[in-house]
Formats: sequence, C-alpha cells, structure tokens
Amino acid sequence: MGRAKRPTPPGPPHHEGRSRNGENIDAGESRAEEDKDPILDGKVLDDWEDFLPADQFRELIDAQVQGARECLQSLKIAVENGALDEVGELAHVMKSTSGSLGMSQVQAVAADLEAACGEGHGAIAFEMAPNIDDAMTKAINALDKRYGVQ
Amino acid sequence: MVDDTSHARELTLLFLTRLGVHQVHAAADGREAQEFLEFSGDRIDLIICDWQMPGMTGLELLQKVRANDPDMPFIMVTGNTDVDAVKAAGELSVSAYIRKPYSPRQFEEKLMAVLDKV
Repeated sequence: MGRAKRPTPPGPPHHEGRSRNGENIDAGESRAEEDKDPILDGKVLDDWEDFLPADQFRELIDAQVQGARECLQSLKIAVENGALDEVGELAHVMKSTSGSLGMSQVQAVAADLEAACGEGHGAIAFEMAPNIDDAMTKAINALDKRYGVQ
Repeated sequence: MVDDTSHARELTLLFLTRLGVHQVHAAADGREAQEFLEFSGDRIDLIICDWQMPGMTGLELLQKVRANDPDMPFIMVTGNTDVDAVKAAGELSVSAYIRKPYSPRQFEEKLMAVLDKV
C-alpha cells in the first residue's frame, strides 16, 4: 500500500496559480514546477473561504498553520531521537492536517514519509524528513501571500 | 465521525455544523466508534470515517458495521487510491468516498447524494 519513494503527488486540480487579488501564489516557482508539485490547492482553499464566514475561515487557517508548525517541531525532535514509529505517527498527522486545507506539497511529502516509516525504511525516512520542513516553509509563505498568516 | 486526527475531526465538525448538523458524535478510532455503535443506544444516521487509522482501520470498521447493518450510510474519507483497497470497500458496499483534500462543496455533494438514497 505505501510508497518509499516520492512520485508526482496525486491529483487535486491545481489552482490557476494566482490568488484572488491577482498575485502569484507560488511566486518564484515556474509554472511547470507548480504543475508537477503544487504547493497549495487553491480550489480547496477558495471553497472553504466561500463556505465559512470570514472570521471562522481566518481562525481555521491560523489553527491550521499553528497545528502544522507544532507538529513539525515534534517531528524534528522525533527524527533527532531516531524514533521511527513516532516519526511515522507524526507524518500521518501532518498528512491529514496539511491535506485537509490544501497544503498539497506538505501532504505529499508527509504521505511518503509515513509510508517509508510504515515499511521500516528508517534510513530513507530520516533522509526524507527534512523535506517536510522545506515544503512547510513554502506552504506557509504561500498562505501568507494569500491571507497574511505569519 | 471517526478520525484519529483531532484536526480532521474539528474540520469535519465545523463543516457539519455549518450545514446545520448539530448532533455529531466524534470517535478517535475504530474501536471507540464500534463501542459507541454497540452501546450508545442513539440512532445513527450516517458514519463518516477516515480510512487509515491505527488499531482498527476504516475498512475494518466498515466490515463490522456491515455485519450488523447492511444499509447504514457510510462515507469513507481517504487519501488512499490503492485499487485493491478501494475494491474491498466497494465489496462491503461503502456508500461513498471522499478523497483528501476535500473541499466543502465536494463533501456536501457526496453527503447529500448518500442521504438522498436513504
């Protein structure tokens, strides 16, 4: 069921590459790179924004970012401690947390990390773990461009 | 609602509340959900369940639910596209899948489609 190596992330349709105010969401990335590896799923975010009152949506985004940061911190500690099972559990949480609000790249990296842990590929998992930090930084920057979350 | 991730439970609860659904029982894993189904005495209209959970998976919970109630509406929330796993859930008459990440609109459409069949 799992995968130890990272394929192109599966399918959520990629957003148009622009925020509602017309700025590039993933500034600094080429369009080709975005299509291969989208940082945010803009459609999911737009739908939640339309669905919820503005204050609730804002709370949701802030909670999302805060939860993801805390989880990332715990994951770094687990990696330092060489706790493969814990890394796998935290990757599972990060996959769910990030994916539910469209942080597509973090979700994909977390899914691969979870799979590597589940299959007992410790060396691969520990090598892969820092990629989440990178993906998370990109996602938070992209969310910041949209909503000013930092 | 069954999900091992508190964030996912909160998000689903937010979604359901916004739709006007106010009686929601949240379970953190399949065993807790199974106990609730067996002992609560409440009428359950719908189960929304994450697929991949430690202890008892969504598929295992679906098996147990189907053993007692072949018609219980059961929506599986999943990032899993493994063909064999999807086939297994289909054989157990899962009512619908929601693939993560889901938008509220997609979720609402699935939910209404499932409830329309009841």
